[in-house]
Amino acid sequence: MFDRMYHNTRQWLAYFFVLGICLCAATVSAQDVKEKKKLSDVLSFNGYIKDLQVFTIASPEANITYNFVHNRLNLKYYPSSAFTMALEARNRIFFGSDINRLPDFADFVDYDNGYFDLTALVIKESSVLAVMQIDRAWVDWYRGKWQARIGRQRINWGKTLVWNPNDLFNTFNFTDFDYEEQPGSDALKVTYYPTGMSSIEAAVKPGKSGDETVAAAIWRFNRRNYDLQVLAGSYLTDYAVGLGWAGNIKNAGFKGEATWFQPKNPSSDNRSVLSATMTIDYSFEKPVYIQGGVLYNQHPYSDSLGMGSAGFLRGQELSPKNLMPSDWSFIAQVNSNITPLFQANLAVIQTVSPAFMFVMPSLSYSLMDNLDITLLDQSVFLFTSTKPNSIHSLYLRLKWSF
Amino acid sequence: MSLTSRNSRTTIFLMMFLMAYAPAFLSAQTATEIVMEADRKVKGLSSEAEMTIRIVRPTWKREISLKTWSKGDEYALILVTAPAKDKGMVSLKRDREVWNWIPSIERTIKLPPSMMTQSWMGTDFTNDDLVKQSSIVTDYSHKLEKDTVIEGYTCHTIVMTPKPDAAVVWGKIVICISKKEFMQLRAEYYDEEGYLINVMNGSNIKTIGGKLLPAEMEMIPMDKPGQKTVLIYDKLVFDIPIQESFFTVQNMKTVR
Repeated sequence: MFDRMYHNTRQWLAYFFVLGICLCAATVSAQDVKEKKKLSDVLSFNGYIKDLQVFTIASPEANITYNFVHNRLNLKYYPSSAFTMALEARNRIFFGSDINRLPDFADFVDYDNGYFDLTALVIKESSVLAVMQIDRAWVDWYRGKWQARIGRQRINWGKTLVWNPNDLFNTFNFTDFDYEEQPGSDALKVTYYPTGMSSIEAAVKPGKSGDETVAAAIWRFNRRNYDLQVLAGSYLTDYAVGLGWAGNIKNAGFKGEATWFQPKNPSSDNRSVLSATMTIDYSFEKPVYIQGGVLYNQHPYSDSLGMGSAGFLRGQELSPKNLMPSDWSFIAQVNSNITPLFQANLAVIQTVSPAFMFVMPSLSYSLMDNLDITLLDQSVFLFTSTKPNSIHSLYLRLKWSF
Repeated sequence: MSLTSRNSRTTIFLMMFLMAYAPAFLSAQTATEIVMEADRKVKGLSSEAEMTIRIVRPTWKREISLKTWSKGDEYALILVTAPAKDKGMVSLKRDREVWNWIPSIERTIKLPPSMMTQSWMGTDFTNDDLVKQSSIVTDYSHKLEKDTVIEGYTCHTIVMTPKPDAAVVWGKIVICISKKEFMQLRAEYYDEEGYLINVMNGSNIKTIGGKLLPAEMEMIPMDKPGQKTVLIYDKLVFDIPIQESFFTVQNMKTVR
């Protein structure tokens, strides 16, 4: 009962928030009409439409195939030099009778991790699911050395390209290749720039209680050709301190991040955790890019592997405190432009305990300036004591950007 | 990440191109002085430009549109304005450091130095053309040869041969610079065996940025028929008042 009231209240708050942004926009646009600005000076609109055909093979008797259309609309409004507003929506329609066979699929796609519920399941039929989500809705104020942003936003504190222990607000999920934007956080962020190359940023993502709240500050600066950052704050039930860097060793890129999580109330279920990663990347003159990296997770949640490691692929239980369900994880990645239009990639992740291997090869071809086709495979091989278990997902994607 | 590296290559190339494009303005007499003067004059103190890069292949064609800003050799900022899939991406160069801003993931990514020195696959410019253009003054010996006429302009022909200790890929470069207007209208790039590899031509000569300049530059590889890369200036302004603070990580997130 209370949950429902709470949910309704949050939805109402969400409506008021979006309404507020619209009213704000309308007010300022009235001013713009007076100043006779060009529409393109004050408004930008872009996005994409993707069609994905998905084939998943978990076992011979559990093959699943479905199609899904993924649309993104990005609207930015620049009413004055100091203000920017953004409203970005993600719409998905899933087709195919097999979607019923995916456990809790409707709940999974309808999930909104924000303070406000801005996700709506608009169609729930036996073989069609449609989900609309607003994953960015913010107002930004920026003047001189100060910047403040309120609303649903991406706060990206990562330095490396695969695992981000420093990224306390929007955990990046490497396996979710089709959603590079990642969900937003309902948060307030204030940034001060002492110089153009350094910043001090504080952000709060409120939750129902202190244990669901993230509040932290980060100091970024550049010394001796290294980008450095240190952060501290409260992350859900823990205190967190971390550091990150991006620099180079000779001609290779050298990046890393580490965060220490200290529980506010330590228990056997909630222990202190060190989450740390390091990567090296290099570009050869023939356009081949390689990257190698390692992640250490002091106390992995091993049960997140679940059945056929579906949890890992879906990013469930993914957090900066638990980026992989293994203590040590290694990644090797190769990316090559075979021709300017044709690109091949391969990423391999190997974990130690529990041991499994994740393989993600892909081929992309540019059909036209804004039309790309991608064939991508994600395979997970579990090395258990009894028998090897594997799950394969093949994706064929057509993407049109506008 | 494929996204990151592909975009990085694109913008690194463009950044190099921005610094490298060198239509010459000359007033000096000896070959070396001509080249030195050309190098100094073309870069100006700073510049702001809008340009289109067209990659032409026998079976396909692609275009990239950009806004660019530069200050001396140290600072450059590039904003991709088209195609739609890369729009809003920004690259920042400060001395030897380079960052990319990827708006879709709201991240600044620092690039490894090895990415600086590789050519971008989609074009016909080599690393040496792009990165080390400033070394046309110090890495080569210059010799005046007989005049030639290009597009109706009488040009100096200058043969540039690498100095013994210079780390350059070309065996020889022959550049043609118009005598009166001081425009670089043609450059031929030879390998160490003396084979002609690439030809760069300037065309569509008009007043741009307050100077008479070829508004189009094309690079043609000799051994690949039907293939070239064309750079077209839509707008160019020299010596704009621009602060070093423009070329910062702070600004790259908001530049439009």
